[in-house]
Amino acid sequence: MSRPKNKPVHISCENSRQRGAGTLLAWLLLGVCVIFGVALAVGGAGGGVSALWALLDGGGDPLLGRVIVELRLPRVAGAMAVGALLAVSGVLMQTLLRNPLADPYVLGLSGGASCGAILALAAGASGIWVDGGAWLGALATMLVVFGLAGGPGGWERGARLLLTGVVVASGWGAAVSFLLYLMPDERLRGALFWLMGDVSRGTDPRLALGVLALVVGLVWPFSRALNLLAGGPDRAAALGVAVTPLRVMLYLLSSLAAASAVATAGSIGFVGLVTPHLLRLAGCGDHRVLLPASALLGGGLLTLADLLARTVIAPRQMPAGILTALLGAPLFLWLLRRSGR
Amino acid sequence: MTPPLLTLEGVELGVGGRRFCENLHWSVSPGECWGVLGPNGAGKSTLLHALAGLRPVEAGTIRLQGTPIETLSRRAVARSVGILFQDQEYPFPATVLETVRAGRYPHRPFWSGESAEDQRLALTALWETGLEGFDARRVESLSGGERRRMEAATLLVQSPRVWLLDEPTNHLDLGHQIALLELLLRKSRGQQGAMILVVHDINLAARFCDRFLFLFGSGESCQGTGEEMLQEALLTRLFRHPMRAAHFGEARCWMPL
Repeated sequence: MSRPKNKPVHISCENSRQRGAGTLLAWLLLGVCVIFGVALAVGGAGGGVSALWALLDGGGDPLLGRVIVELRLPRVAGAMAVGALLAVSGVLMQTLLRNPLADPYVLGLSGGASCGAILALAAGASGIWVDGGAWLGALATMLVVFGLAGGPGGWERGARLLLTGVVVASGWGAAVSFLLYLMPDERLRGALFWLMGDVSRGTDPRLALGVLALVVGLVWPFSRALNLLAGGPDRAAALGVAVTPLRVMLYLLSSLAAASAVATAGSIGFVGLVTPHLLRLAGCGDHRVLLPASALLGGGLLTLADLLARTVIAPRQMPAGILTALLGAPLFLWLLRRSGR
Repeated sequence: MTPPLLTLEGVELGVGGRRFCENLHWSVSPGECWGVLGPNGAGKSTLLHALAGLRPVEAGTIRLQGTPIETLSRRAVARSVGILFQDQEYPFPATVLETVRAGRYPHRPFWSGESAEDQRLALTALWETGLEGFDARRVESLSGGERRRMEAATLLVQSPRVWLLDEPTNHLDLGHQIALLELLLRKSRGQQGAMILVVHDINLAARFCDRFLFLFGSGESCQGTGEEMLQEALLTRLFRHPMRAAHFGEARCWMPL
């Protein structure tokens, strides 16, 4: 190129960028800790920060202590894990499908998992089999959506993919309605949980937390490959990424994450879509930062939503999934409009 | 004689029942610059993708420095072969520097991040392609030509030995077209590499390429030096349109009638 003869000046902006990413993660971590503390301290049985301190000190009201440890802690930890799983699953699907509007809820994975779980319930299964049903449902949906929207170059077609997801999701909705209609009344209430998205079921959050650690732990080392994959499979392959095994891994792990989230808390919408999107808008496109930041922000958002859901209309509670969908639907429409320009 | 970088032995290539080339024997040696010409849909891009190991061939073998390309790891191929795609989409926000620096991916160990050296190479490549000061810009804010130069900068950073360029001059003005090709040719020669160029502009190809491969779109192909290949009758048959050479003193220019 014709250019002035002076040597290029290399001003490194790398250090400031790394500092920026570190600051972002530190703020998110701080925010999550605050939300975690507040969610533990606030509730119908009372509490407050003083009760939390007393509990940590080994004293305080023993009854309140039990409420906090046995009721609130699993619920808050569960909300954290589910929000983080949904957000991470959203990041992985968006990268895999190269579509910023992909998420487990929009693509019908949540619906498939709900349907699998309700089918298992209807068959009289319980415990781990219900979770297994949820996972199979999510996996089957992923296969259907990828298969139908796929084909050569098909994954790139955003409209086709979203349409497939929407149609599959509504199909699952009909299947779930049919199952609920047939279900005996005494089982109905338990099955409804899968539709609403609620972290109050009191499921042991350890499975979800374990899956979260597994998924993030397995995917994070591939962050640089994910950065390339976001630019298209051909480009990633041309720069040395083994695309097919990476895609299979992402497919399995994003399904596992979504299914575990649904198995823990039912079908919760929009956390998986909005969280990565907000971070990307904030200029956080590098998966090395995006993955942990999404986990933190998603966990924090869902915990906050659950906190609001159980305090806004106290003493009554509502499922957190209703709140995320109420807030998420307009936000999604806004994002869709923005991306259409 | 130096061993060839790329060797094709009886390669057959096609998509959906169409044959692009049959029984193609071809060898590309260091220092050569090949022009691949042919009508639309003749399989020029498909051939480049196969040479980069991105798609399998239907028969025959492609060897990269003697080794069948499909037996090499993606990373090993990417260290030797770089490709500038015809079109490239960017669905997610990214900065120019991040995008260009990604070209270093095959050269870095899996576990390591980018080094200061990668940073320096990326900034140098931006400077060489006339994009200094663009490092913090968003890719989606670039014009078509700026984006094309950014993609070329990524290729410079990847610094392969085989440079595959699929219509590299898309979106570029005349001055940038020639400057970019001169830069890429100089770089590829600098590391004993070879360049394979798919373009539609015969005059641009004639200016830079010393050898040509013609794909007729029927499975037939032929190859040779510029002297042998740039003939009125052959070009007329290739493009199914009468072609004439116009002479300006020493220079020669190709024109459709």
